[in-house]
Amino acid sequence: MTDIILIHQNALAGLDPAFIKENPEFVAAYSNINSKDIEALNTILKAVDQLLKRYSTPNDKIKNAVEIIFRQILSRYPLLFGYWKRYTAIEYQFHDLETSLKTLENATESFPHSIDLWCDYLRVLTVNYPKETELIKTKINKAKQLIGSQFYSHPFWDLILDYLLKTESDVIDLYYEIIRIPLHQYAKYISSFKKLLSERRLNDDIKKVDAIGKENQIMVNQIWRFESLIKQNYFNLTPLPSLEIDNWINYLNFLTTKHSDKPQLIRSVFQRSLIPCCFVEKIWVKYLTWNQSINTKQNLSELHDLVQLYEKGCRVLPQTAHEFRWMFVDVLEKKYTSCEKSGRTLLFTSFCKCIKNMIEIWPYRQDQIKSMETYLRMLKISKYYSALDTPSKELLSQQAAYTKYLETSINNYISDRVDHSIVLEDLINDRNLDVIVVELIRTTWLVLKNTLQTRKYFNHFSKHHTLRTSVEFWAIYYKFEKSTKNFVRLNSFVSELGTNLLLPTSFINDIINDYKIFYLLNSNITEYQTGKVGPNSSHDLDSSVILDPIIEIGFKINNPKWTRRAPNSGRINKTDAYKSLQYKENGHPGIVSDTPQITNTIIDRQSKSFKNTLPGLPTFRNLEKINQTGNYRDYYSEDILNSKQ
Amino acid sequence: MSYHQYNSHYQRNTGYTNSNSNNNNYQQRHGGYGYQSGFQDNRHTNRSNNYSQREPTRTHPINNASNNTTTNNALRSTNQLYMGDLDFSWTQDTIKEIWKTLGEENIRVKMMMNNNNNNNNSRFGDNTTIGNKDITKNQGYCFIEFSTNEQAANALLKNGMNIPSFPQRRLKLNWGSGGNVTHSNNTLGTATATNKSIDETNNTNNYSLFVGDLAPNVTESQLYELFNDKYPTMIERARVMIDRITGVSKGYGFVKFINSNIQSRAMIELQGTYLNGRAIKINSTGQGRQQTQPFTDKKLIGINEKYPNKQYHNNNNKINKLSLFMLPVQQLPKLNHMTDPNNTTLYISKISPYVNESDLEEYFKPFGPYYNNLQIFKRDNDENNINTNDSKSYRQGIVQYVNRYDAERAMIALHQYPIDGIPLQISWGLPIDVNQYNEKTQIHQDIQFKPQPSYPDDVYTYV
Repeated sequence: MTDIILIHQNALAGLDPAFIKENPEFVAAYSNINSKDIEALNTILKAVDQLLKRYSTPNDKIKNAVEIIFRQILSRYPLLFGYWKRYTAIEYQFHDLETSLKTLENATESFPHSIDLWCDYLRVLTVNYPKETELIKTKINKAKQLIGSQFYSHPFWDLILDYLLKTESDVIDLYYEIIRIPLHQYAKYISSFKKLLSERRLNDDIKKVDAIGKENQIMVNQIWRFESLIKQNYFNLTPLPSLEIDNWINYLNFLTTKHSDKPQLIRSVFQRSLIPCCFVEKIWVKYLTWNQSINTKQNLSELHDLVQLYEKGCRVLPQTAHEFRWMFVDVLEKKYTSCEKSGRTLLFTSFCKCIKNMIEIWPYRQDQIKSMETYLRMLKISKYYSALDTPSKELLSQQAAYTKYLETSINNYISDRVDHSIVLEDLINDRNLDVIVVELIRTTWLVLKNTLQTRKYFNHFSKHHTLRTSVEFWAIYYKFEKSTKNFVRLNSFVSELGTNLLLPTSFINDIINDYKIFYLLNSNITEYQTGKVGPNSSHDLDSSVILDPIIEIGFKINNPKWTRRAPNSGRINKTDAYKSLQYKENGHPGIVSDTPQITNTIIDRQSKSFKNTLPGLPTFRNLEKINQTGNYRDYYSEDILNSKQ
Repeated sequence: MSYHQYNSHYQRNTGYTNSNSNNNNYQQRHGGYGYQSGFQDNRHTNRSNNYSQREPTRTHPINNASNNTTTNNALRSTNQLYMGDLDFSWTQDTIKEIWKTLGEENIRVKMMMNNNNNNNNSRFGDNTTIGNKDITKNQGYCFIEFSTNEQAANALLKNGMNIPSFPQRRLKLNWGSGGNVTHSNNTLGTATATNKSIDETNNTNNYSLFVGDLAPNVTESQLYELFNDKYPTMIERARVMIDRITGVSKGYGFVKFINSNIQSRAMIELQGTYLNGRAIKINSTGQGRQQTQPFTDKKLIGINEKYPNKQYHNNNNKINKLSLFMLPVQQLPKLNHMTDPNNTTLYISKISPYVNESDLEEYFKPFGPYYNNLQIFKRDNDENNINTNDSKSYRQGIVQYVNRYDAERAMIALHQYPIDGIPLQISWGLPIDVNQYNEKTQIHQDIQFKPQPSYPDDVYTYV
């Protein structure tokens, strides 16, 4: 929430008008800020630099503005370590050492896999606060976990060795640790360790070190094949070349298949790969698949870490990454059923968050519907759980409560009284409303067996505009009416397809094919005779033309707009027939032409009066258009060809 | 409209004539400005019942009404000049400026402004492009009154000169009879002017005829032969107007005769002759009439019936009436996605942004098999920023059926069928390379690889 406020904050708001006037390039750089373009970000940085050169002792307002700018950029892209460094330096210039140290600490938290930031932080800490040994020790341990296994982590190890030597603690254990890690400069540590050991005359250990060193050398040589190909190991906004991504993937494949016994190393490589490749969905998926494969035991803190990792991935990945998010939803669902009670609340809240996020970023139908369906499934399991051994009374009451909950949510949504504190109501939108309505109807009809109420729901919801075009809703309506064998309603429903109910062609075709058979099997002569009148012919005469379920409904197949002409007009309106598209296209769809016509009829030429009087001269319509070329309805040229010119 | 047309057609084909008209009245020529339609108005027919007795001094009925005896000599003795081919935005002041640069300061300009009351007939002449509602625009000509006849005659010598301040235009001058003509009808005004100039040119041994409705493949020699066969050695030359840009015939031309007698005869006798399958249409020359359009407005006839003294309208109508009964020679249209009878690709526009490929397939699948998949083109930054109210957020798509019949049925059934509340618009199209279509996204991928900025080590001055 604070992030959102930060992003929308205007950093220049607090500045003096005079200041703004004097520094137009700074203002311009800020107003041109484009979070997707690294150049724009660099420009603002340069502008800040110039600003600070000009004002060597800036006032509080300027300080504040600059800080906000940095926070805005870094909250969005915490992986820009250069910006963190600059920010720290500026904080030091503005305030004091403590503030800048705090900034660095923040940096290591936001970007925990950066050797640079950790080294800087530890260096500042050890140099300036040498007495805080406890803090230093915990930080060192933390850093060891996070970055110790990285291939280029030698500056970090050097730093620690230095520190430990200064504080005169024993480094042998640490050396043993280091020499097992495949580092870029592994040899350096082996030789210095051997030197140390020979000083202390520990010959056995030297042998041991040699053996470890050899092993490690083989390992380093193996991974050097991949490491040498890495050109960009820092984060950037511009997309990474595909060769680099392929190299990372090959590297990870190699490690996970050949060296699956070194999870620490694999994890560290994954973490490193996700710095430059943090927008690459493939690697995220790979990482989490691998992560799940090694963590088989159910443990609340690990579950928490896993969820956190997923959430981070969802945050970072672009909106086009569908696979990763669905993987997350699947994992949550699976874990939910398998884990014990304590983890369930965590999983369910995370699930709600995830679904909400998905519904927000994907306004498309399918993903929406899918996520809503998943949500309802989870909701039912978590809040209205029922097992085989639940007593039937309790079971029924739970189902009733579930139905009630759905109904209030839907009604609140329809009547625009959405309570955002209730998760379901917050999630509903026009696109997924039908999923919930169908769920409500399904439980009422099939679980609670309340036919009367079901019909009420149908009558109520069928008036809502988003449900009128919902396939799911009308499919269940058709099934319901079929089960009650209400032919009057069915006839009216089928007749409205394509004209009043604008549903997909294939759906209409399926319904009509099915209904034809169903009608012939189940109807009788009385139904047939009464069925054509229509259910409520008294009050909507104009809208409903009831088609003959045996003869006429077949015309709708592959021609959804087909309908019988309204009976009251009797015959086809001849005067307007020539205006119809069908007449004008004359069998050539898309090409409209006005053909000349004789407008005065010669229908009575057989009559006697015709013989007695001279026939009237023919009159014409559209005669002047006889030489006109056809009129093309050509959206293709309009849109594609013309737009390219 | 067509009762009259039909009537005249009937007359022509059967030889039956109205008892009122005692000669082939629809071929009458009168006063050099066109034909008259005799059969509706006896008074007029009687006045000029024989083309050989035509009075070259007559101008037109309106002029007759206003100043009865305007002769050519009288015209010459005036100090008024007609100036045509004006830009429609020019005003009296502009004209004055022009003449000032030409050394004639002491002039009076009568600009023929558009009359807003009659706005249906402006298509008559050159100035079809006049915005009729814009009364500030002129009609493309004016009259200039010089102080003496001599000055006017001198000024006339400048005819055809480039206008200094408007180099793309030339002076178009002629003797003019008057700005005192009351123009109740702007069409009429144009006709007055142009026909007058024609009259002048005719008097200076320019016996030309306008030949319209030519088939596009008619050559000059064909046109020449047609006339020369009928009147040997009487034709000076024949010209077919060619569009300078496309090199294709404009569908009309001019034939020049050696005397007016032959000219008049040709107009009657060769009227409607078939040349390369199309009936030609002969008319007197006139700037305003070179591109005569089929003149078939019902409204126009209505106007003429209301104002029977403006016969020249009917004259023109008659010529065009004849052309309506010509056999249509239609050219084969160019082969493109619209006209190709084997095209099976449908182009779908106005797809709701909420509809994706698989949704749309539910609509198009039942009609028959298609190649590949149905495609919806994604805009460059697709998934976010959808705003249904914005028409630009509609998508376009392509589906290519295997059979033409299926494609046609799909188009008929689904054109204007609303999906998600938005009616689809379907027309014939061509398969599109989606990658090419999304050029913008490609450019996005080609962005130069720029390194992240790094900072010199000395940023930590405090360490």
